[in-house]
Parts: sequence; structure tokens; C-alpha cells
Amino acid sequence: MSKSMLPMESYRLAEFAAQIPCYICGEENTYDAEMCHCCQAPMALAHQANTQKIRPRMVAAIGASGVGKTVYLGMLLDMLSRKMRGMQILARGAFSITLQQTAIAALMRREFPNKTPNEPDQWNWMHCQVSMHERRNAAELIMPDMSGDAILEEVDHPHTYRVIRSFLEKCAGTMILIDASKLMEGCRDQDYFSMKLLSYLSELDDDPKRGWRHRPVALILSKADQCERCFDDPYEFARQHASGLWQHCNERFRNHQFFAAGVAGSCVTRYVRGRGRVVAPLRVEPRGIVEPFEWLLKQMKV
Amino acid sequence: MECAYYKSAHHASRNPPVLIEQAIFTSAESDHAVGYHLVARSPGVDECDARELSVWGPSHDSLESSSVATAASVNFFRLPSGAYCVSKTLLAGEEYSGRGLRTYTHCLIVSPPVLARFANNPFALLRAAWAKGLLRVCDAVPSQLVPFQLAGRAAPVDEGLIGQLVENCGASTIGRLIEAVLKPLPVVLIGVRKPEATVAGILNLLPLSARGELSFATGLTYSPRRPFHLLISSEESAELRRLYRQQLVTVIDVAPPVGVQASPSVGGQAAASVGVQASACPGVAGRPSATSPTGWGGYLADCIGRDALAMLVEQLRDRKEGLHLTNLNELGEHLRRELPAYTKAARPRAAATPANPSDSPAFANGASTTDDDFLALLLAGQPHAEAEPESDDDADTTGIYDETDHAAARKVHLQRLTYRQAPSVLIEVESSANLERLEKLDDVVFDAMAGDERALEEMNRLWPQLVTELGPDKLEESREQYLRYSLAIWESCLEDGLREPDRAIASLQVLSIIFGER
Repeated sequence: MSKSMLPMESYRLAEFAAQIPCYICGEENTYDAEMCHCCQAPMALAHQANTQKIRPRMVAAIGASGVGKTVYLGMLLDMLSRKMRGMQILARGAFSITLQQTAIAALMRREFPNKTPNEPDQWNWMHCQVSMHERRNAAELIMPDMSGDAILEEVDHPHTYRVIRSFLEKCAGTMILIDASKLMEGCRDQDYFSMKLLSYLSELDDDPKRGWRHRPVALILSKADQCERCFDDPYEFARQHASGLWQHCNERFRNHQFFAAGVAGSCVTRYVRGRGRVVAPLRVEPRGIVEPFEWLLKQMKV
Repeated sequence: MECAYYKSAHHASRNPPVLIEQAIFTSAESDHAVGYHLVARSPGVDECDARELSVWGPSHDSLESSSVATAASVNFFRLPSGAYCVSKTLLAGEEYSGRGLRTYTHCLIVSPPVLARFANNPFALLRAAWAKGLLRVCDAVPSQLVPFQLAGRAAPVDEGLIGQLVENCGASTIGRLIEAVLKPLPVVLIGVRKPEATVAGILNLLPLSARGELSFATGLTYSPRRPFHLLISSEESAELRRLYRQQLVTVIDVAPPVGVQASPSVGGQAAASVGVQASACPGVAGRPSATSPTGWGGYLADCIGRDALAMLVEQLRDRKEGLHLTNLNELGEHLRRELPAYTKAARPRAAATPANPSDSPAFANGASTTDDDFLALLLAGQPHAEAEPESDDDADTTGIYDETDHAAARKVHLQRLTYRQAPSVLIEVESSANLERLEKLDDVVFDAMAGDERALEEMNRLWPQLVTELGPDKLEESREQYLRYSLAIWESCLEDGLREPDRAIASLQVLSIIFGER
């Protein structure tokens, strides 16, 4: 009978004895967990954060379903990855590139990216390093592409999505996207949804010094290419077409600014067999994409 | 803490009937929200359940298949109130924001007593609701839905489904599958050809009281947000391999390996593969046939292997309360020890029965000529030879059969009548064209008996045409089978105590057509 030697590797179990807290919700997870068992945020964020001297800061892009969060974030990352306005983004980890890749690939096919699913484990997260020409040290940022349906569900029924709540509690600033084309049509829903979001934020952390009242909020009027007027004076456009939101911001958020942004030059609705009616961009003409982000970083003193 | 639903169920027992609440989860632009949300619900759905329905609700790209023709899922889980959610998910209609097709889920919120009437079988309940036209996809979803009542019931065990599962998977695979289902880790089945029939077959292999504990989805992707215990995946994907590698799910391949025919009488030997192939997933050391299943899974494998399915079915029919998924393994081991004694006792009895199948004609659905004797008894009100006593001693001492035996035999007979197959399956026909005609006739007759007026009109036209084309002999047999079916409907109404004049009238109309020309 042949004998063989087997190395004792039980010491490896020690790795599992030390739990790793999730960077978003703080729940303890096992060493090899890929996603947090509690909030489904990627545990890579925690592993990467542990290797950095500076803790990554978090920025949210929120808004109702269909306002264009995925397109905006994808285009922003694509533009900044190629250095624009003295600012550059470098992705940390392969998972951080997926959002940019899927959004740009869809736009190149003259399609909009697929709707972001409600399930947090399906969301794209981005951990990146932002370097600005006037600053010596690069900053670390975490930005997820959250589902608008899930955001509204959490706003309407708090604690439904732990990941959203935990993330927004820790965010240093936020970009709220509002569909300008719908505001232009006279649809009040966008106004109401944005007010709901702002109310949620102000109740989330009402600390008089560090609460959301003092954190920067960039209000981005998306799809502005469909209403050119919006680009001229976003503040005045919001005052006229989203008076509730405008009032709410002025009363409760000291550090806010309105912006207009558009990615598609013009859109058409076409019928695709097996998929039904689909809205598609005819050309890609990004405008006002970087400015809100740049403003936000300045306010955050990144 | 007592479940809210039990309180209301107790209340309902004094004030029947219990209603089935409903809700729709899909993507729409409603007054209060946009995107995927609970678009409509009936007033009886409480806030806590509504929130849970939103959490479990499948959104965009949650279906395994993206083709309208094949994308569907039957889902089942328990709600915080104690009620059950039985839902059907489809790709239906366009997404309001012009982003392709929307995922549409119609949820039925069912109280435990109602589900128990359907043998704790969500498929049976869903079939009944579907037949009544209550699961139609609404293009414009109404803001409020109304609760409804659902008559009918289901047999505790569907032998046909168990037979199908045994034929497709084999004893060993079924044993391992059930063994995995009884463990805490979610189970994903791959290589499944008929997802709904497979899950329904698995449910039928569990005791009635334990069925409600098994949450499942037949066509949704895995998500930690929707912790279904049993899922079916259309293919072995990279994502599934990741989940398996991280020990988040157990993956079982139920497809027989190429060149191996799954057989029901494998006697514990692996006839089908279990677990993801070794090449696909590191960590699985070859085919897992080295160890045989234990517990309830092992018992089922033994029963199938030793050809003791009849005994198993009888045990499953027994409405024992207090059996849960957690204590099934213990029970399985206990029954396993008793199994050899049963098979020894069963052999002499089997030897006494005619060896030649032609001596005792048996149909695919389990009906036999003894059923015909029983039908005679039923109609004449006389004792009958099929009501066989439990033991020979009983027959010797009493000589005649008492009321209990008679009632039990009658019940068995009624169940068989209900599941009797269509004449097109039972009658021998020479040509495929004639078979097609008979199949069409079956569809039309059964639809007409279910109350479809258009089917009744069609039958009025089709029957005389077939009489001339096929001849009276063939149709005589069909006539007999349809008569049996309508008698089964009549008897089941008497058994249930549920008067259903609509069904009775529809059956009478059909009978008046098929006996009309005589």
C-alpha cells in the first residue's frame, strides 16, 4: 500500500474566524463571501477599502425609474476615464468597469441599456480613483447604479432595501436625476418623486452639522436634449416646471444646484420583434455630463 | 406569536366562505409609483404581506427564459400573515418606458384551509383559477382587484405525476433530489425538460402537511432577495457555477447521462446524474453515486426501486398532521426499516394476480376493469368485488363488506374516475388522422363540460360528423368514457358537498348531444 503525505492546512480556517464587515451596511461576513449576506453589496468594496490608507467616499446617483441613471453614470465614467476638464477616473477592480462597458456598448448599438433589475445583487457598483489637476492626492469614490424601482420602494416603505438606506446614510453627496422632458410635458410625477427623495434624505440624517441639510445635492435635469430651454437656465426651468422640488431644495438643502444634462441627440420609438416597443437613441451627443459631478466633488472637498 | 392569518382563518371557519385575495406585481406607471411595484391588490391583502410581495416580486430579466413563448414561472412561498402566495409570472405586454417586455406576476394569496382543499398543491389551485379565467393578463391593470372564491379540490396524490417523475429521473436521482430539498441550502435543478411537472411531482412525493413549507419557483433566476428553496435553471451558467462554488446553492442535474435510460426500477443504483458535472464544477468528485440517499429521500428511492409505489402513494394519501420537512428524514429512516417486511408480504399477493396483462386490462392512468365492476356497483347500489378487504382474515370472518370498506373503495374509485384519461388515449385507432380527430373531440368535450359555450357549439357540429366518419363502434367507446367522466363530475360534487349547477348543466348538455341521436 502506498503512503502519501497530506499537509495540515487547518490553519486556513482561521481566515474564516475573522469576519469582514460589509463596507456599506457593516454586517459581518465570512472571508470568502462575494456579496454581503445582508445587503448584497459586493464584499470587494470592503476588501479594497481595507487596503487603502484613505477610506473611499460614497456618491449616490438616484432618481425615479427611467430617468436615465444608468446612461448618465455610464457616459460620465466613459468621459472621465479619458480625462476631461482636468479630471480623470481610474476604475479599481474589474467589476467597476461593467457599468461603463454595458452602457456604452448599448449606446453603440443604438439602444439604451437594459432596465436595472430590482435585485441588489444584480446592480453594478463602481469603485474608482478620481484625480483632479489642482489636487495632489487622488480621492477614492464608490458609486452604485441602483434601480429606480428599488429606490422608490425604499422611499415609500423604509427598510425594504437595506443596501439603499445604509448607502445613503453614508453618502457624502448625491446627484438626483429628474426627467426634464416629462416636466416639460406638464407631468407632475417627476416633481413628486424628487420631493419624496429629498424628504427621505432629510429624515435619514437630520444631524444639524453633518446631516443631509449640509451635504451637497446636485439636481440634474436629465434628457435635456428633448427640451433645449432647460440648458439655458436649469434653475429657472426647475422653478417653473418643478416648483415643489425647487421650494423644497431652497427650504431644506443649503448646498444644492440645478444642472441640465443630455446623452442622446434625439430618440425614436421602434418596434422590435419579441421585445415590443423600444425607445432608441438616434445619435449620441453628451452635454452637461461632467459639470454636476465636478461641482459635487468640489463641494465635497475631494 | 399567533399568526394573523390563523386568527382570521379561525374566524372564517365560523363565517365561511374563505376568499382568495389577489395582487399584481409588474412594471407600470400608476398614481403612486412607476416601475416595478405592486400595481394592484385586493382589499384583504394587509400591508405586511403587500411589502413581502414586493420583496419577492420578480422584476426585469428575472425569468430564466427571455422568449415570450417559454418564459413562465409558477412560484410559491409563505407570507408573514401565515397565508400562502401562489403566483404565476409571465412576459406579458410592453414595459411602460419602452424598454422591451414587462415581467408580469399575478399573485393569489391563499389561506391555509383553502390550500389544504387543493391538497396543499399550488399547481392544482392555479389550474382551477386558470380554468375559471381568473388569471388573465390585464394590459391596463385595474387599480383595485376583488377577492374571489374558488370551488373544487384536488386529490392528495397524483400518481401520474409521480410516475412521470420516476420515468424521467429514476429512483436514485429522486432520492438525492428529495434528500437535498430537505436540507437548508437552496436547490437548483438543471436538465429539467418539464419544470412545472417536475416540481409538481416532487411536491407529490411529500406528505400533505409538509408541502406548504417548500417554497419554489419553476422559472425564475436565483436571487438572495427571493429566497426560494427550490429553483429550476434552464442551463448550467457561469453564474450558477459561481453560486455552487460559493456553496450558496446545491445544484442537481436530473437529466439522465447520454446513453443511459432512466429507469424506475434501479434499486438504488444511480441511473441519472446528480450534482453538477465534475468537469464543470471543481469540488464535485465524480458522479455522486458512491453514497446512496438517506432519510426520506432514501425511503422514496427504496420504494421506487422495490416497486412499492402503491404503498408509498397510500401513505402519502394519509392526511397525517404534524409532519414537517424537518422531521421527514427521521420518518423516512423508520419506514425504510419496515420496507423489507412489506415487500415480502406483497410478493405472494402479487403472484396470485394474473401474470398476463391481457387477463386484467390496465390503462395508463391506473384504471382497470375492476373499475367497471365498481361502476356497476355504484349504479346498482350493490356490494362489489373490488372492495377487497384489508386481509384475507377479514374476508373470512365477515363474508360481506361493511360500510367503511365500501366508502373507502368508493373514494378510491372516484379518484380514479376523476383522473381517467381521455378516450383518445384509451381507444385503439388505426390511423393517425383518426387519432387526431378523437383528440380534438376530447378537447372539445372536456372544454364543453367545463362550461365553454363555444366548445359546446363546436361539439354540436363535430359529433355527427365523427359518427359518420369513424363509425358507431369507435364512438360507442368514446361515449362510454365521456359518460364516466360526467359521472365523476357528478360524484365529486356529491362528495365535496359543493353544488355546482353550471358544471352539471354543461355535462348534461354534452350528454344530450352524444346520446341525442339514439
